[in-house]
Amino acid sequence: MNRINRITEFFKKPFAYAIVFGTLLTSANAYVLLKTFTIPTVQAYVTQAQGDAGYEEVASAAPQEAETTATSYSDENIQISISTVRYNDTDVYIADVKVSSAAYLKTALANDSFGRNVTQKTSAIASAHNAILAINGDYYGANSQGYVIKNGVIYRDTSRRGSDQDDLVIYRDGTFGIINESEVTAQVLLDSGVVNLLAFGPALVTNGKVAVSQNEEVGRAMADNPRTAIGVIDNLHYVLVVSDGRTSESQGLSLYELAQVMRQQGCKTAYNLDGGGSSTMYFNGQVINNPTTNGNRISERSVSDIVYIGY
Amino acid sequence: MPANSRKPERFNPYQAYRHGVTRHKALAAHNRYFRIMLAYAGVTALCLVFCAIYEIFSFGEHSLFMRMMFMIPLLGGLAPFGLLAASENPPSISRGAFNLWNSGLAVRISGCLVRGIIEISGRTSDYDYYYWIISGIFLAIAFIHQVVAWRREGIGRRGK
Repeated sequence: MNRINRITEFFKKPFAYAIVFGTLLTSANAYVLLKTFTIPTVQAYVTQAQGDAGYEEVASAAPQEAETTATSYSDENIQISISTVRYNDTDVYIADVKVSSAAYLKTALANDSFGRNVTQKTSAIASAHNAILAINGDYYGANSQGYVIKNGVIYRDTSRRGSDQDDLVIYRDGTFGIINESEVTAQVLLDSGVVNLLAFGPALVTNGKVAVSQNEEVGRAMADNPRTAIGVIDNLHYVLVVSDGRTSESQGLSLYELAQVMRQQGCKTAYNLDGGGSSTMYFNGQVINNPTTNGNRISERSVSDIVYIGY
Repeated sequence: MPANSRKPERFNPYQAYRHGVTRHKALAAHNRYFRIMLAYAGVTALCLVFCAIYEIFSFGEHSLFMRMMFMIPLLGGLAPFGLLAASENPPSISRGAFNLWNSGLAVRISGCLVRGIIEISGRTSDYDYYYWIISGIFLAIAFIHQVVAWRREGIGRRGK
């Protein structure tokens, strides 16, 4: 009882309660922000078998006779051609990719680990997996919910809270589909042949038509920013696009403008991936765009995952 | 302990008003509520300014939680204490209930702030649930605490 009285007396001092409570609240805020943005939490590691997604019928190493230039790559299984176009005062890097099997369109996780805030630069992940071409993925590690399916493995099966955003699914035969997490479970997707799922969005092109509105009142959609997108033109024929932005040379693209770029490339289905400072395109050992970090500083940002073409 | 060794009680305008109460002392209560109202007006303005500055650097992103953050001190502090300051015979507020109420609002503002920062960054988090729950507990306890205090004083009883 004496102790309780002492505590009561302490809190009766001017500002004592405010100081103690303010300190606790500030500490709690700092912890939540650090846990959300900085502190890595590994929940699973990728095994060799998981990284292969179960494809057995394809070559596992690049052939010796591959032809490589600064803007192209070609061998018997993979043909890549990269062009840079100017659109809306912005440099847009377009990689046209043809593969003989969907097995060459892969995803990879930073440090081969699944978890929150587990990150690596796109170029580092790509280099570790001998990628020929790579772009940043959906940055799944930024979110605590949302399906994560990579190379045929479900890493997270909780759907995104309160969101009607669409996800891109890539089937074993290389075809693309757009799904809504509120309508189907991760296990059903896997059973239906989904090998990779990308959850960022929105869908830019569906059935060959632009799927985002020019007047869409969404800040993310309206603003000009660096962007990353992936689309499919035809069977095993893909387009990977990255735009610069937030610099004096390139102002960036809105989602509608990005959708128009994808449509002009002939995409039947195209999907927006993590953009902003994450937007990075890697080709033959080099980052070929100008990724921005912390505003307009040209520097590659670390991300959770990549989409890549390689063996 | 000898009776004359006790410390003299500090003047408390709310106690004075409660217990019988000359008019000029009750004015001190109005002054207190007015000062609290001003403090909440400052917090409301701070929330608006913080949100505006944050959005300048957010590359077109915004969060409804951060934009609406100012409503918490406005509706939870400025409005009720403004009413108290404007009323003729304002009831007293106990220090405990006042601290708990402020704490509830502070937690709720922090929740909006944290949720806003996370949303603008394009991330999601479950942590904001805890803010809503904890702030709700603080506000509920503050409300109950004050109602009990008023009942003890007879405020709100029939005929009082």
